[in-house]
Amino acid sequence: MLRYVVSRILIMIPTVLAVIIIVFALSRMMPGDPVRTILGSNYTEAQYKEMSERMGLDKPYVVQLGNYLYNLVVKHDFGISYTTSRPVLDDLRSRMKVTFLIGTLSCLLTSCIAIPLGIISAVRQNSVMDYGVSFLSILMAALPNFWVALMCIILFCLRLGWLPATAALGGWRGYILPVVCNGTLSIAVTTRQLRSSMLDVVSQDYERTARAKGLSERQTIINHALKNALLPILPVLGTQFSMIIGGSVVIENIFSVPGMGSKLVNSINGRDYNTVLAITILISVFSIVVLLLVDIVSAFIDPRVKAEFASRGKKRRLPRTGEVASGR
Amino acid sequence: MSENEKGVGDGLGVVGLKRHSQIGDVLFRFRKHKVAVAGFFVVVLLAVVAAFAPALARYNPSAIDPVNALQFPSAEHWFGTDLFGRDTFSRILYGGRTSLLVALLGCLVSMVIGGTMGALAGYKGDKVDVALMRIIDIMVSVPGVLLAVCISALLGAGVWQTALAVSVGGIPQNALLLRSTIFGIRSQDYIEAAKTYGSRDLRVIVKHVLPNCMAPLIINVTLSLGANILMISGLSFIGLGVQPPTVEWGAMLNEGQTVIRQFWPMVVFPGMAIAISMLGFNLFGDGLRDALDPKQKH
Repeated sequence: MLRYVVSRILIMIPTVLAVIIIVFALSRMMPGDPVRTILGSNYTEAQYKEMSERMGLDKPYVVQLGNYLYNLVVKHDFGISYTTSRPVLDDLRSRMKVTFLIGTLSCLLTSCIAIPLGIISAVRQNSVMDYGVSFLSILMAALPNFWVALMCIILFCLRLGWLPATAALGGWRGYILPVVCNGTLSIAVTTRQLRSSMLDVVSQDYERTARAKGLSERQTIINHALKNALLPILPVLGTQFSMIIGGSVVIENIFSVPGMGSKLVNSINGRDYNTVLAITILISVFSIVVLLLVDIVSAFIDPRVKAEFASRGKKRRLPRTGEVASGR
Repeated sequence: MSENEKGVGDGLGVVGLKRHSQIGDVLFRFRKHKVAVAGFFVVVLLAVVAAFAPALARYNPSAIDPVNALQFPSAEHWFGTDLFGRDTFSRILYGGRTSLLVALLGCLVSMVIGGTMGALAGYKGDKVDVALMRIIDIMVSVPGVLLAVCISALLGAGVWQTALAVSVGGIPQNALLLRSTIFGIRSQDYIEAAKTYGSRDLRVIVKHVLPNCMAPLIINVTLSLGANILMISGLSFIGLGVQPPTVEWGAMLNEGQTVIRQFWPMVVFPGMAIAISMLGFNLFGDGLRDALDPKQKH
């Protein structure tokens, strides 16, 4: 098992490096001249030269990349923001927390809503409840979350006045709408996935056996079906998490959440490429780590993967034992 | 059910030995899905609107009329007017044109690039597969929206630029889809048979592999068109993507957001247009999936 974890982490490192290199290349190709952005309109040739030397922009691309990677890995330094002239990481530290907090809450909300709904609609297949849930998830999958956010602002903030339209005002209540609106699409996707994986599991032989040996419906669902149905949902939730964090770029702008997403758009408009670079890298690395964790956790839960690695080096035995769904 | 199928299913492009009966089966299964048929009509409606926007619109979408700015919906202006007195209904019709065009372009680009990668990986296997899948792994690890935002910022605003930005996010999905489909097909007996009687690689791919990939590809195109429309409007909404003077739903929402406190129509109607087209593509795609791939239930 340790071997699996270590090998997964080792595979992750080149991925992270490749992402950094690609994003770095992209950010250097973006239009506009950062030196000019800092100096404004009045500058002499000498000033320009000095500034670009100080920012390291006069060196060849590969050297810049090398310096950037060195600073990033060794000193955890993302460079200096072109607009605020402060280290990028200092600007981002509090914003990072906000974005990840909202993302985590959205993901929790998704699980809390999607899992029960998915179970109910699968267990009561073709009932009114099932159709209701399916209708809801189809609808939610079609509504763009930024539009839902705008509609919520009109309803809850402007008409009813229950919640503030700007996240920073009104303490925790300001974060209700960003969290909810960020999760709508994920709830729809996860519900549908869980419903279909649950339906797969319910028709398996071991389910019939469980019922035949006299277990109550509740017990067969909770003890036998749910365990196997939730396994394929874990990677779905992982992807949804990274989608939510990515989607926060749009939602944070609407509610003026002081997070990385709103900062990203401001930095793009202000041509502050070091910040753009830092935010993209942070979010990507974060989502890589989340996906890695999901993989490792599923490996620990899934007896098939576990068996495969436990038996390595020892005597071979057939991995398929007990109540493991074939998944199809 | 075999009498009335002739010529009906031309657009589906499912090729098989018994051409009529296969398309007939698909159509039969599809028609049983009332919701999917509704989705199909929404998609057709969208296509018609996009094609005939100039004929359907009652006003020029960029005709400025400051006297009638910010009018609420009326018989004159069904969806009201915007900040500059332009007719929102006409602008939504033209916006559909932009959205559909950009979504299609993006879809094509990602299908060509991602599809080629996936096909190569699936067909060649071994080292090619490992190498290509590493690239896909890297692409997957950056959230699609983020990647689209960065590329959009890099390329600037515009139809082509946005199509490219949106397409990048779709590449991994296409690649993985085609790879797994081809993996499944590669080991089938009919491929073995074709190779045995001396077909070359290209012939095997064109004659035997590709036709059997059509079903998942068609489903994927439909579903990703919806996703692309969402992504495009999202980009335009935050000020990247397609920008004025080109009319686009997301950009309209962005303008509407500035007056959200006093004037709701500018925020409500463009969003509805996005939602309805997403709904159409999603339902149509789901129905197609059930019809084309009867093995997969639920």
